[in-house]
Amino acid sequence: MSGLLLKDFYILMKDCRMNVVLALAFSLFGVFNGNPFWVVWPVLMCGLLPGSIMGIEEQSGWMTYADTMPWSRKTVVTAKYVFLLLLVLGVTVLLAVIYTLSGALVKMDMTVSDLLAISLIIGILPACIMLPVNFKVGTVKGRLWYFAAIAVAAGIGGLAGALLIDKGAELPQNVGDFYWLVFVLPVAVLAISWVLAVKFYEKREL
Amino acid sequence: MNILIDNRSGTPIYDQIYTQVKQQIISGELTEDEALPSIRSLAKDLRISVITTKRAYEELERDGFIYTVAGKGSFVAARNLELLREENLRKIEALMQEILRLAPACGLDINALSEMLRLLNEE
Amino acid sequence: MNAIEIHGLTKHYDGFSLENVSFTLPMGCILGLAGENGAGKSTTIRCILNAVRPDAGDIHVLGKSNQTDFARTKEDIGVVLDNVGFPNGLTTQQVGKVMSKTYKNWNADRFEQYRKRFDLPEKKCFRDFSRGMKMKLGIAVAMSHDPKLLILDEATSGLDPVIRDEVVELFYEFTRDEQHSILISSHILSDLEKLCDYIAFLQKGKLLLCEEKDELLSRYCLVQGTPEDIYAIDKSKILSEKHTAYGASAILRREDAPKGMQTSPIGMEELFIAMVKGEH
Repeated sequence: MSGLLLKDFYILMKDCRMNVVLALAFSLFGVFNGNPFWVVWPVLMCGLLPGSIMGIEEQSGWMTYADTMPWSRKTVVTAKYVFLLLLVLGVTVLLAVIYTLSGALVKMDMTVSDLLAISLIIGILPACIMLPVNFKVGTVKGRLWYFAAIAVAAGIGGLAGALLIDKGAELPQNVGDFYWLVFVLPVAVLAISWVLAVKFYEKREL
Repeated sequence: MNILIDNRSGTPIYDQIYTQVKQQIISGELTEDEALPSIRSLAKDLRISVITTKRAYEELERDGFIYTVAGKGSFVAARNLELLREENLRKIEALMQEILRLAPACGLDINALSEMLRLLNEE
Repeated sequence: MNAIEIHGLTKHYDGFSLENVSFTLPMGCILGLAGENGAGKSTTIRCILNAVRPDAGDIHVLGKSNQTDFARTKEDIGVVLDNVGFPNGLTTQQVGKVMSKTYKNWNADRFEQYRKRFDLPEKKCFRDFSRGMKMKLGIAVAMSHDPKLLILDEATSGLDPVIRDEVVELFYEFTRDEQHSILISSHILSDLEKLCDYIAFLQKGKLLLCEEKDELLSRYCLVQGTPEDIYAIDKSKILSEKHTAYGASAILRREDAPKGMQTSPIGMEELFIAMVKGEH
């Protein structure tokens, strides 16, 4: 797998250099600005990078070529997820360090665990939808599926919310007790996403 | 060992190899127990298929011109005098056929031919 | 152990089917997969590499089924496809580094030797390579991890004649070792003729023949003569014939050639064109 990760790193540095630079720049803005927005943006960008890298690879015909090399399809999928985690957690650690040191975190009225929660939801969840789709049908067709999936998810979310409010459901009194869900849920979704992606890719004809 | 392959001729390549190696064994160019190149290296050096060289060696072995030691390779078999004699008999017969074919054109009958042979033998 | 064994390979697509293809590549030999474009060569190779799942049949590579632990088998297989798919932004050096972490038996020195021999730049991006250079890098990579089997899908097309000759020579040298085998598909029959021990000829998804190349070529010949000479030959024995303003010729089995007619050997290209025309 290290070969795959190294290759992703090379692509990142060559073809996605702007994204990396912008993510770092936005991180720094947060130091001075104190607006939580600057936390969200770098994390989101990092979360979307593995999908972009897949698109770039597809243009070269890498997927077909990699299939002839001594990796199982499961390894190829896992490498993308590992890279996703490295990027998102990496930028989170960076943000945690510089914002804590610069006091920006205090300005934003956030704790480190808040930071982690945001990065898990915003950085990892979109990729959890994108990666299985990309592995199933490729990045070009994937884009359509992706938007459809978002639309469906939003629709379901909106409907569920409306129904709940209709039924007079109340927010649980102790929202704080459920805080841990914010960490556990993304991890669970990530695991499901990985399993799906492996299943899809193992069946794929290249 | 000198082998020349002629791609243009109609003779199968394994046959060309067989004939040339056989000639060199009979003439003594290749000596008894001399090692022959391996099937693979011969094929690669001549730029031909290993199957072809394998077949040529198999026929040479079948006809007693070479022998193979497992793991070591193929070697020239002992100059089998019987084989040699047969080979030479074949050559003589072929030459005689040729003489008989050409003789009528010079007006030589069988008696004249015998006379010529006897004279040559006395020289 | 055979390098590749295929039994009853069948794969259906819309408008094209690979039907019941079976052949064997013995260890230490070179097998050429010939056929027109669209005959099924690439599909066959993709099935061998398990990139595509067949509808029927089984395939064994280097003694193991290609459905079992194939990732490990691929350590010993060097593959060059007609589209060399290295990521566009990588340089030769970076490709080498990635490959060194990919293959257990990666030989960096050998890769460097090939790089120099093929005159490949170290620091130029792959997207800026010419087609020939891309192919050469693909070949360098495929041969630098001590493979036992090379699978080459149209690996020589797109190369200029001088390089093609060098590359064919390289492949040929590869099989000096009797543990090394090659499966090469090409529509350039002259390359196959130079290299192969066996030829498998695919047409419209069916295997027309799989035979020893030398034996196949010596079985047929070309006869030339007057149109009358050619007409005199039994039609069912003729593979194909040609009539020009200056004479006529026919391709047929050597044993069917009329005695006394001059025969000349034919090359693979002529033979296959005759076979394909004969099938039409």
